[in-house]
Amino acid sequence: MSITLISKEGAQFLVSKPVADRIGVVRDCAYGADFWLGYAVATDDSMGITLANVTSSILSKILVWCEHYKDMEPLVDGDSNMEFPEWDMAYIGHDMNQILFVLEAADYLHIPGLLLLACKGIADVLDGRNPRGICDLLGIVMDFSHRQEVDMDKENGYWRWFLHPT
Amino acid sequence: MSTICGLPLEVILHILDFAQWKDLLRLTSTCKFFRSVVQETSALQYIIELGIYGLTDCRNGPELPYSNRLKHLQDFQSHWRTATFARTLEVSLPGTWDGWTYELQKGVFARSLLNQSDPVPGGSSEMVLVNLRTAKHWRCELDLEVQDFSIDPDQNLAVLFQWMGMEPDTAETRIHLRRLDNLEPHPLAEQVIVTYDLGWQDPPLGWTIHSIQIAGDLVGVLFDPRSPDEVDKIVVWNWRTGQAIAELPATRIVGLDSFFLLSERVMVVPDKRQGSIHVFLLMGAETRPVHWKCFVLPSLTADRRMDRIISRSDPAASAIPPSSFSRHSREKENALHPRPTYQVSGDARLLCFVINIFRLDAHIAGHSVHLYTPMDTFMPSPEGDWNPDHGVKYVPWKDWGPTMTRFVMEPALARNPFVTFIHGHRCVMASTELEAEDGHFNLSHYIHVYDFNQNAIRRDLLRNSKVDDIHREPSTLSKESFFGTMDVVTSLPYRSCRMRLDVPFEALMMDGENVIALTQQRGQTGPLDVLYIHQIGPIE
Repeated sequence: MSITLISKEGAQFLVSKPVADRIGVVRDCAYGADFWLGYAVATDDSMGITLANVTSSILSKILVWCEHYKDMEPLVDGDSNMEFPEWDMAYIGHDMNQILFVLEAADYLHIPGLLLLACKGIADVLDGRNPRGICDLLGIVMDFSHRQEVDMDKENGYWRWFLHPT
Repeated sequence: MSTICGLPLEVILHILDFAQWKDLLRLTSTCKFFRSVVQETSALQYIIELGIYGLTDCRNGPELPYSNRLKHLQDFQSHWRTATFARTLEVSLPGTWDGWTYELQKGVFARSLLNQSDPVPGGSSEMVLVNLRTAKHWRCELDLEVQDFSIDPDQNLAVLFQWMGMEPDTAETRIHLRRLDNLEPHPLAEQVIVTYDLGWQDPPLGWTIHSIQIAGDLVGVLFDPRSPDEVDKIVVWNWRTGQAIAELPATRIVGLDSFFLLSERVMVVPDKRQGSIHVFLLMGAETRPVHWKCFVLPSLTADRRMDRIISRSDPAASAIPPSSFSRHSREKENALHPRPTYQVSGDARLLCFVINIFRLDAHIAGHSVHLYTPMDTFMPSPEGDWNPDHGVKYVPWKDWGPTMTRFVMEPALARNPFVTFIHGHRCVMASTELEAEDGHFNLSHYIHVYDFNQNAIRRDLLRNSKVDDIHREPSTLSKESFFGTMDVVTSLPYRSCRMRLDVPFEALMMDGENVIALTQQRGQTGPLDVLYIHQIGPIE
């Protein structure tokens, strides 16, 4: 049995059941009697599921992960010390923008293993950057009041001591 | 561009779970949102606090809320800061007047009795192991005589160097790899007995062993031949495979006095003849260790010599990444290993060099000083700022000494402490002082705890909290008494405290949560070694 996944742009991805089963939302759709509002449209013989929030490029990226993990269990729980397999780290890469999209999609699609990997990926990209660099990467606006900034200058005197800005 | 603040808080906390403690600190300076998330999540505050103290949490058993853990860690550190003991346990072990070797690692004290007056290479000996948490001890018979040994409770490993006799037939050393808990052969060692030819000519006159170092899969040792015609050498093995991966003989350029394995890759070798500290990179079995850097000490005038540089740093075995090692200790439940709550992370160690300088023309005991520096000083950057083609990089004293080290005089009437007087970023020393009391003079015994944790010192200075015990003013070694060429000024900040002990003791040791005073006493049936285990509170 295979399932057709339809991206935001309407592109169709034909995937086998074990691959699709990695995606929590798809699994629920395929087995559940009542389809989630907005997610799924059943067609005649094969199943077609529209993933309205996921672009084609991110969906194809996610399917690579699902394909890799179709026969084995990914890590779904961990802390700062856990080590991911090399394949995972190479897969997630260092492109912050892409990781953020993968993270959002993994959250939306209910893929806990990939969500965890994306979190690890983001933490790794942030590693060793100074506060300004982190803001630029994540698109955060420094929103401290003047008074808070004065307090933080003092703190930064301490942080700066061991920061190795990149 | 996707923005991170739009993600559910749950997902953001997942990301922060993976962040390093320094990155969490930096995040507090980015925006209000991240600042409040990091500051109001006790799990993250706990990670930061562990990082500042250079520790890993190795707790097993029921999970405590992070707010309790944070409180426990802070209490634990403030007890160390004042050398406040929660309790003192006492253990009496059958002793000997002949001599013995000992090791203290991560809550386990181990001692082997030597029987060198009647050397039997195939003889037997006894080992005593003490769990410092419970003060329980075990006595194990060994089917060999042990010249020296080292242990690593995390890997349940005991590395025993067999006593080959006063005049061995060959220059072959024999290393036995055993489980620490029962001294049976270690299951992870491919060869339970590793033999290695030291390559010395003729029947050798025997040798002594210094500085046994365990770092993850590696075991290294310094062999010091009794024959004046042979040179010292350091040999490093992979204990799992039994393969020697490096051999470093003393040369005209590099003298060997002692050494450290800072990690599975970095080896530090102080050299009294050159007055310097060499750093070697271990490149694997095929290649010789690469002589990477040479940190030069202040130069001496012609009439002065260093007669020793002893180097110390513990825990020696913590080069294992924290993850594998906590997994390992979770698997292994044995009564011997107390599994301390906190363990020193691989990069948070202090190095101490005990340097003795004397004048050739004056036949008096030399001056002994301790040089302290964090191990970071000698570590290559992760990107690798070295190139084997460039040769040795010499670092003159002025480029590292004044700011990255501190010379500390031994306290008055210091007794020669045990080798393990250093642990993580702290060290402990003993002194005896003559004090007047009600018209009488009494000898009072003190322990001194020095703490070189730069992160905690910097933070406390910034907060202006608890800084009475911090020494920031530079210290000066006078030109006349020490190097002869110049006054030596060093300024690495440190804290210190001292604590009076009522019982006299002959030696002192420490690990992450204990300060141990050892006395030799005369028991009814023979000598007794009594360990007073001072446990730093709070006890769980």
